[in-house]
Amino acid sequence: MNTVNPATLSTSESAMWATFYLNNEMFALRVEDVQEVMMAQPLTPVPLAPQYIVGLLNLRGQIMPAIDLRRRLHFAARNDHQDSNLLVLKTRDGLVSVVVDQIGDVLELPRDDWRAPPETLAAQHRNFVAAVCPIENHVVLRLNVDALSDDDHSLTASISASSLSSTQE
Amino acid sequence: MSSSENTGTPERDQETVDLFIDESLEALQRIEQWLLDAEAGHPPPDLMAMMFRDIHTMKGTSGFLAFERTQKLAHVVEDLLARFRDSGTPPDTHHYARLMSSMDLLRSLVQNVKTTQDEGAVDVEAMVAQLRADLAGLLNRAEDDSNVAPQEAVTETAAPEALHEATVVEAAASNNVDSSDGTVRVNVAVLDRLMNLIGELVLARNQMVQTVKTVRDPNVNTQSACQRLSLVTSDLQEQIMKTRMQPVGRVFEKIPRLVRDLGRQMNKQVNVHVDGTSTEIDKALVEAIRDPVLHIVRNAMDHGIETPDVRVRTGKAAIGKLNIRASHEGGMVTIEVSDDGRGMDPVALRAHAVKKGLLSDVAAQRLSDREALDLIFRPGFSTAAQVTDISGRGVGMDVVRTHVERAGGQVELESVLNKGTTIRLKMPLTLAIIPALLVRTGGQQFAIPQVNLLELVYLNEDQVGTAIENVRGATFYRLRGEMLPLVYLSSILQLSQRPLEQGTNIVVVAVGSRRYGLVVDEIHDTEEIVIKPLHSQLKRVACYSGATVLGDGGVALIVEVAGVAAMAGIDMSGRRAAEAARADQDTRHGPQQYVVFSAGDGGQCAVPLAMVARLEQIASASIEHTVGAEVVQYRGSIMRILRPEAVLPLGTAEQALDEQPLIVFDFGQKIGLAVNRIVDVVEIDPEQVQMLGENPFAQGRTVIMGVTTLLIDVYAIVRELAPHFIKERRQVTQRPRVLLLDESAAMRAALAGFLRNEGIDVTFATSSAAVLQELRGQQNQHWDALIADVDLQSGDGIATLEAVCEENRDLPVFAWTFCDDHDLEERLCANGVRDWISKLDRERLLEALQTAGVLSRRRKTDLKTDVRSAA
Repeated sequence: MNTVNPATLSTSESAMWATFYLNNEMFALRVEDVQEVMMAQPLTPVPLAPQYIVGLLNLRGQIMPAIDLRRRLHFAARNDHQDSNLLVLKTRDGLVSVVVDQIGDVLELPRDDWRAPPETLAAQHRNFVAAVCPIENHVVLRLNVDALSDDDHSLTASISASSLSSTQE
Repeated sequence: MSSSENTGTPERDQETVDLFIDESLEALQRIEQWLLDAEAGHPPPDLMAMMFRDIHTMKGTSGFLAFERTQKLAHVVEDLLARFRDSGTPPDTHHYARLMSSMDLLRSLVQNVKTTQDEGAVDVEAMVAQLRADLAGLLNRAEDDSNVAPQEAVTETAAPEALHEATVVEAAASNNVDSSDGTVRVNVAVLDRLMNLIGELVLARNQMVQTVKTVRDPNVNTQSACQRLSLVTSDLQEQIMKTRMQPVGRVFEKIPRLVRDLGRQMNKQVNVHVDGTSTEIDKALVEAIRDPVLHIVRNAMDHGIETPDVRVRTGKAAIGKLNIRASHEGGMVTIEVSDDGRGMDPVALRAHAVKKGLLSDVAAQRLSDREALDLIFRPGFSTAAQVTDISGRGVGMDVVRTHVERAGGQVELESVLNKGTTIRLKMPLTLAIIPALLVRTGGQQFAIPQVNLLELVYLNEDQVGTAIENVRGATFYRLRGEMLPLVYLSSILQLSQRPLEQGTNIVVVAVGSRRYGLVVDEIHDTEEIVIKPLHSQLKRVACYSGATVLGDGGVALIVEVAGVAAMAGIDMSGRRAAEAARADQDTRHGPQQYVVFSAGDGGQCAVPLAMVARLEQIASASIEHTVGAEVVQYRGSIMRILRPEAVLPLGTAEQALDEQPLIVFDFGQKIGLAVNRIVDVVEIDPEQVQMLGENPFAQGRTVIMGVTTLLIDVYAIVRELAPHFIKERRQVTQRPRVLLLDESAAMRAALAGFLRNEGIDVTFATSSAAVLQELRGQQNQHWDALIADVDLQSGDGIATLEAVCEENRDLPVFAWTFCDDHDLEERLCANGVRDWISKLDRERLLEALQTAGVLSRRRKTDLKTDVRSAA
């Protein structure tokens, strides 16, 4: 998947991005923000917790919430019964693990290629997408890690009619 | 201990002085570095503001401690810094040099304090004059630059003298041994990391111990290594906890000054007396109690202590008293703030609550005086006749209580009108590692902090129907005559409910003095757990205070008892007051609370509530009979059961009870007193007790509820019926001496290390003849126990055991065997053998020795895994 033009790399700053797939979209995170990647783990459910927190993960004595990224980003639940993966992220509030559909490659993308997310992105997703980067014939969405910890204020109230059709629930 | 008053020179408190020295030297060190950087051309941003803060603190503290020279010098330096800070004028090299030499002079003053407890005869006047000149120069420069030069010329000449003096003093100081050699300053972040690591180690240890137990590895090395690991971990944990401890005095240091300032403002004279400043408490808790304590002091100054003329008119000394005392009490730190002011008037409090609309008139009149006092903890209650700027800040005692309880503490209040008020904060020593009870509900494990735990009640399906009552939708359990509100954890957490037929486990919990019953599915073990904070997204769920990793690697949520009560909508303010009144009485002389019960054929007896560890109800069927002694499995070990009618003229009980009520006492080991029925908890006035000389097992007799009641002496009964328990208390420092008969050299070798590790002095015998000789011999050796192999090659093992039991009735004898012969076991036990122990089960051996009182209980932090609930 390393299809970035080497010429671009030499002229502008670039960075390493860890990618993963969620609802057939490719998301990216700075590799520095990812502590580790693992297979699905047993989780301890937390009664009364927000729906998207599927449980607590015990990672070698560290306890962290496991966030179902599909629920957090208001995507439809998965129906292909495949095993999910866990990404452990370093956020400003400590470690958080997120459940994603599949882990992708590590990409090197030039910093200049990132742009602001399109206006057409649905409001409930926009909070979580910090930037987008076109590669080949699709778009990589950069996950806003800190937004995962934010409160979900009145998102439903501002759901925009125009949105990426593939990301609609 | 120190005392200071606002009217004279304060007598210096060593603690405060030490703190001042440390702080000041640190600050001066810092400032020196900044100044050096600044001179080198790269001043840190906000240099003046940062220096100003440090010097300002130094000025304040030195002023409070009456180090006049330091204060004077710091004051002028502060003025100069303020000028720079406020005007934005950058200092020039001359100013930096001046500041540097002022810092040197300040340091020599502080060094003198450190070595001689006094500032010494350091001349600060010259430096003060120079600094004033600099300041004047700056002010003039703002208007007219030309005035600066002559000022400079005059002052510059004086400088070398001051510096010279400073050098001399410093030289003198350096000859003294630095008293801080024995301590090292460690970054708090390192301590926190250590704390986390030890937490992980405790978890790993728990897992290890559990694995070894389940695997039952017969290799003695694995077991003893594991035990060693366990012990070392516990010690390490304890030591690391200690590194986090800070003297509670840090909270108090601001009080004398605060009282002085408030006193001036309000024309009140107060003597502050601070005691127990070196009492240590976890760093995190020092922060947690700071604001509540200061608030209580402000309240005492504002509402408590009267003005001198009022005091004199009411016959009190014109100068008020404010005592602040910290002490360790039963694993908690108690901080007590008491004044001798006007106290609280229940009548006025009631009227005020009605005026504020907190209570109806009728409800207010129904409150007892005691309950009326508790009104001050209600939100929105402020007693000041007029809102003052001292304590009328919209926060009241309700905030104090909330803060203290959030940190796991409790607030107690005592007040006598015109005599004064005492407020007590009871705080835990540490927050990071706590003992907790593990329970299961809706298929999930939860941990309930032990500090919230009062008792466990089990109701079988028959009792559930009658003992649990529904009052207008709320569920109550009648616990010894009191209505205990019940909260079903599964319904609060919206988990699946368990069918009622399986009986009900009630965990009676308390927050402060409020209590309620938390109903859970199963009750498991208690364990030392490491509190891990929850992610911010989960903190909004009020019913958890954290999570922990269990011995098996699973995760359990820690139940926040106060949060659950709030979610269940329990408000027990009236009840809370009644409880507080009760707790209050326990600590005073005069009437004492007694547990009243009927025993034997129905005679009524009572024991002091203070002696009682718990009240339990067990199934009679679970009582096991071994060698004339009744025991029951209780909380992971064996509890001896005694019947009072064995020594008291009570007649024998009818054996019809299915459920056996027990009063549990803790004599190092638990002892259960079997009774017919627990009647009530009542207050008995010692004056009403008729002393009895003739019965050694009763302290006296009194009439309760119209029935003559015997006040029994539990200690005497235990001494009579189970002397080992009392003996164990006396000989706690002595290593128990155990005689062990085993023919196998390998087994002896394996056991030697194991038993010695447990603190047992073991002597081996290789034949039954040797045992008999040892026990019958004239050496007059004392043995605490005999452990003897049954299946000896000589074939006389059984006979030997029986003979020994016959001859030494007081000696605990244990059969030690590889075989599984129930008939033989029964026969031996009937003949006086205490227990039948498999050679493969060393833990059982220790347990048996503990039960017999030979071996003292192991440390609490050691883990018990195969625990069955008594209920």
